[in-house]
Amino acid sequence: MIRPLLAFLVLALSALPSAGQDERIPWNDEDHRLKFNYFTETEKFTTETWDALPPAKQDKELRAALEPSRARLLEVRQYYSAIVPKWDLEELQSYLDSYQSEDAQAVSLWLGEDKGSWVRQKFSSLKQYLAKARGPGLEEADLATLNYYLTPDAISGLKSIKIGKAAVEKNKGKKGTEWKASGSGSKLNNFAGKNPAALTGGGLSGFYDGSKGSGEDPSASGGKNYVSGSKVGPGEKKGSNATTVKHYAPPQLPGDAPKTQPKPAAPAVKHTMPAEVDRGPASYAKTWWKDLEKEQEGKKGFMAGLTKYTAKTAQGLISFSSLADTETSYQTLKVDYKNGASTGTLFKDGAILAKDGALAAVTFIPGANLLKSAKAGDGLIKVAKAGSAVTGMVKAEASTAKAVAKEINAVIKASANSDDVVKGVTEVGKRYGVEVAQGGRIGESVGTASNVVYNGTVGKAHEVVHVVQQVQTRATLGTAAEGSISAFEKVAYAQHEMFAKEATKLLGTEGSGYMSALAKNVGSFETALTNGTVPDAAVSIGSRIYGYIPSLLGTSQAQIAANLGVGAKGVVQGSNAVLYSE
Amino acid sequence: MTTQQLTILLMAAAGAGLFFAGRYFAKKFSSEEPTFIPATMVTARGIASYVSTVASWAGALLAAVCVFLFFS
Repeated sequence: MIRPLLAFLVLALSALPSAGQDERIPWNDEDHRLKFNYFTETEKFTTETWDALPPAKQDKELRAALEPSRARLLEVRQYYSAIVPKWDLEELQSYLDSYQSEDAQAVSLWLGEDKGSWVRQKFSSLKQYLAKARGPGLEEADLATLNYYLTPDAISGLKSIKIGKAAVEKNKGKKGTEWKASGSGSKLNNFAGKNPAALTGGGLSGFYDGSKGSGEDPSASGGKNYVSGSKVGPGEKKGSNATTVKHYAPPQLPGDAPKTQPKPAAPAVKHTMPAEVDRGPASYAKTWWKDLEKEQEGKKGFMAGLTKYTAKTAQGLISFSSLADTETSYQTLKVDYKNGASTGTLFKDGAILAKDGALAAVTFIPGANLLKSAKAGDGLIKVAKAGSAVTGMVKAEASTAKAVAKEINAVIKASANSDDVVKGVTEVGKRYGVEVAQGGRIGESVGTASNVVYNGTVGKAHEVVHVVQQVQTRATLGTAAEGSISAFEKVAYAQHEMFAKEATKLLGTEGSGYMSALAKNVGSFETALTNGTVPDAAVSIGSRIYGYIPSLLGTSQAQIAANLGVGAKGVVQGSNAVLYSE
Repeated sequence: MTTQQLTILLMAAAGAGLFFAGRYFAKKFSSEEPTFIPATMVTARGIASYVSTVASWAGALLAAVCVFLFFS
């Protein structure tokens, strides 16, 4: 039952990316328009070269284009979001300086012809009005139109440009009195098309917004996109918060001497976290960390190194979590759904979303279960402090504790390895009514009040330490003292593990200090059992940490498994059983 | 109702089905006596239970997204 289920799941997941591999995909196929936009802009293929490709190659190219096309779409959207709001003077100067007609063509291609036209018209109008402001001066009717594009302060600045020009004339010969192009404006980078004039958007418009690309001014006064005197792009919120452009006050008036102040940020990805709805927080966080890492290039010193590696680690964790992929899958499904993609495409998108969500779940289920267990108070075991009293435990007779310890120490002294130890301790146990046997789960030593079952297939030396601990506890407290044994081994679980780790090497193998560590363990247990307290594990910091970790997860493999999301019900099996994990 | 809306509703139903099936099998495969190998924490039942849990999360995500898209 299990194997067929697993096989089905594996096959289903592995089959996802190869769906449709044998079908030839026509140029500008509706279901792949994002990628064809990318091909068009980069001029990687034409209709003819695309159609000449075999289906498998087409599929490969489409898959390879997925990420860059999404990235380009986001870049264009960010640029557009920065263009739409009303500008102040500094933004006006910056954008006009850097604007190229290809920017509007890119907007047309990726976001629709109407948006591209709107961008083109904004730049065209502003250039004209700026020239007019510098020449005969603006008229009242011009100010009404400018109100669509500029902030009131910017309009005031343009109105006073004649005053500024007069000042320029007056101060001729002095340095820095011209309003010069900044040369570092904001633009849509990397328009890759070699022949952008060919990119009219045309039939490719309206992919993502459903617009038809009529070409008419979408925000003419009184039109449907005219909002509160502000010109906004079709389907856009007024004053999108996606822009990273900052406003600086007071604005520099044209004609004033240039001030040394920072230029507005380019609308491309910056070291900020804009609340852009098209990308999820994980994608932004990843970009943010990536930018932070890039900023450290060329820098030296401890903080730069620390920042760099922190950024790298954060990016790794985000990638590992699969959250960014899940967000991308969600966006793909959303875009395809909104644009009326075929049923097959929607199902494929949904399957990929489920797959990415599942991968994210693999990461988060253990954490979620731990939190749930912690909330319920039954998953996390509080590590008891050495020397503190064990609630519910009856103290052992000092003479009995001493006698048992003496016998076990004699065994340890006479033993050459862990095999000898377990044989000798088995004999000691028999004298006190405790039976030791091999069996059970690999890597566990399980005890009830009168028996101990261990499996030494993996980490035998480690498990033998547990056998010694369990035999000593049962022989000292007595096989009738179920409550005391259980209480001691549950409360002092971490200390049990600390001693076992201290005595052994990696993977629970025997080290050179095995016997002396065992003897130390026996002495500490003798004191603890006599006083009814948690043993003092005076061990290395590494052994302490080792003892704490399984204690936080659980006192048995079953419990650890449950906390890791496997869902085992048996935390402690039986009323008086205490289970040890490896 | 458009084909896309119908499709998205079907996917929501499939996600919900996956969620409930995942929950069912996660409980079914979890055992009081698992036989774990400590080195890998892997057993057949353990894997099946974990995969079922993961599938239930994926189903819940798919159902939630589809319902959201349908009404958005």
